[in-house]
Amino acid sequence: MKRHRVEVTERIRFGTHHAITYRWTGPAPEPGQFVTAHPDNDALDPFLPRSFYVHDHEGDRVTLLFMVIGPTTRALASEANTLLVSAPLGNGFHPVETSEPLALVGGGALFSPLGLLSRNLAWRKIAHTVYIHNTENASREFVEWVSGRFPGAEMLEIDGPGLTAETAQGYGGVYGSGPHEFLKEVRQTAGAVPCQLALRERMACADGSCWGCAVPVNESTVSTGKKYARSCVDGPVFEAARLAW
Amino acid sequence: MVARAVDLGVELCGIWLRTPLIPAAGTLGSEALGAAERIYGAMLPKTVTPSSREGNPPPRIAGTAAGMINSIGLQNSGVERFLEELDAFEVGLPLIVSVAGETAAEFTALCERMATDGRVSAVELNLSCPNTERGGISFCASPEAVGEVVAACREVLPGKPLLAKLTFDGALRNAVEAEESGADALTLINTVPAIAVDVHAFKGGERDVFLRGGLSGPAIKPIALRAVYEVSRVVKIPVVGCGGVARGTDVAEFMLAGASAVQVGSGRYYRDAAEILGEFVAYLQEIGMNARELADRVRA
Repeated sequence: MKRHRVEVTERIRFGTHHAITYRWTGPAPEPGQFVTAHPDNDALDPFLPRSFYVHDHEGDRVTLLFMVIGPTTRALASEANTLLVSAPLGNGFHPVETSEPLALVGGGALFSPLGLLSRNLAWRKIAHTVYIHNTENASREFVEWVSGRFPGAEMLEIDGPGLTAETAQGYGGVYGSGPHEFLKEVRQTAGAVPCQLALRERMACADGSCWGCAVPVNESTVSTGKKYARSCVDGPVFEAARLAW
Repeated sequence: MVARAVDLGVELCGIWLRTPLIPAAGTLGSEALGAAERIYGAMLPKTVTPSSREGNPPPRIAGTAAGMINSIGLQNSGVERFLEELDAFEVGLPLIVSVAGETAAEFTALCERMATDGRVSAVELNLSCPNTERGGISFCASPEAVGEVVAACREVLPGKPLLAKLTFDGALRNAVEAEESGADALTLINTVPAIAVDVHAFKGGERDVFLRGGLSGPAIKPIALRAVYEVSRVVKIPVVGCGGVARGTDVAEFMLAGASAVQVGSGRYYRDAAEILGEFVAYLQEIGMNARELADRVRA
């Protein structure tokens, strides 16, 4: 995987939440695309680069948002002025044909890719509501920061009643990003409304080679009825109906 | 001062490789070839089995210090589809095909297919898979099983080199057996059995805590080097080093230990393989040798 050394222009910390902004003049990321990131040093730990959704892209700046949990995110949250990243990868959210507004539903800090999606929808003048859940364990500063991340949304609700099966019917599409169990709930809530989910599978190669980021999908052509797609090149955003969860 | 140009070419069982780097099986897919012909000396696609295999349920990957654990489960579409799609790997380099079966007969059937396919230059036997005729233990757990498979495959693969890929466990005995049974080269080593324990998954209770699989990456390099060093001093056939190559000097280490060529696997996830090759070139320039001279010097 070709790695690009990029200059970190801003770091924002809210307890364990961390936002890194870096200068990027390569191909523009599409909403729902990801990059792999690695500390800019020769250390062998962490060994695998880590994939992160692009949270935002404006001008020549790209922002990633993550929680500091393990060795990789700890290393990336250091004070280093540079970072090694890949170009934007994968297939992100795709447009749905609808005149209805769209619902963006995020779980905790993992709402990350909905930021760029909201920016993109606002630019295309597509009405959308953003529901962010499960920020109870986050700092007040983080929640305040989140509340400023969706200026183009018609409405932003943080830890409110959220999308219900009933209110979902008023939307032309539902876009979800969050933990695995959270996404299952989003899919159930969306019901028959077209729904796309941004998955988070562990990746190694991030280019389709290793089949490490397997996602069970419904493929009627396979006798077992279950087949694995690759999150890195077939996703990481999938139609909810395609997922064999 | 202009750096001296170095010749990266090496020979492996009569096949000329323009660089000593070969992708390790299952680590370089057709969609990621990029400028592969400028980096590698041969192509080696993901291991193929007689029938399609769904692979293991996720999670399949865990990062570790200086490495990673994988538990892919040989997911592949089976040999028929594999051959239909093999042209994707035709980038002007020799093509080595990695095959795996659950019985000696399955290995043999796969080699028969490769024998008649003009695109295939050589076959690598992935002998670390479970042998269903012997209770599901790895072929590499028994030199007799290794010998049986190699001998049967040798018979049906006239004129094409046969490589036996071995695990560290029993490497020396299996290597001798493979050579006596007709292998033309050995690949050392496959991944090392390991387990990752995810304490964060335990706290969250969301996904599996344990991942059992094969460890690869620089963490296993000293183990792989030891196998290459010891085996290459006993057998006469060439050895291909594999395990933890992530830097140019790693390539040199394997060649100094006795390897004629080197496979790059998960190291490509850590670094761009072009960077690894570039560093190896710089090393050769520093010592004033070509790749083949480095390999021959040690073998002699």
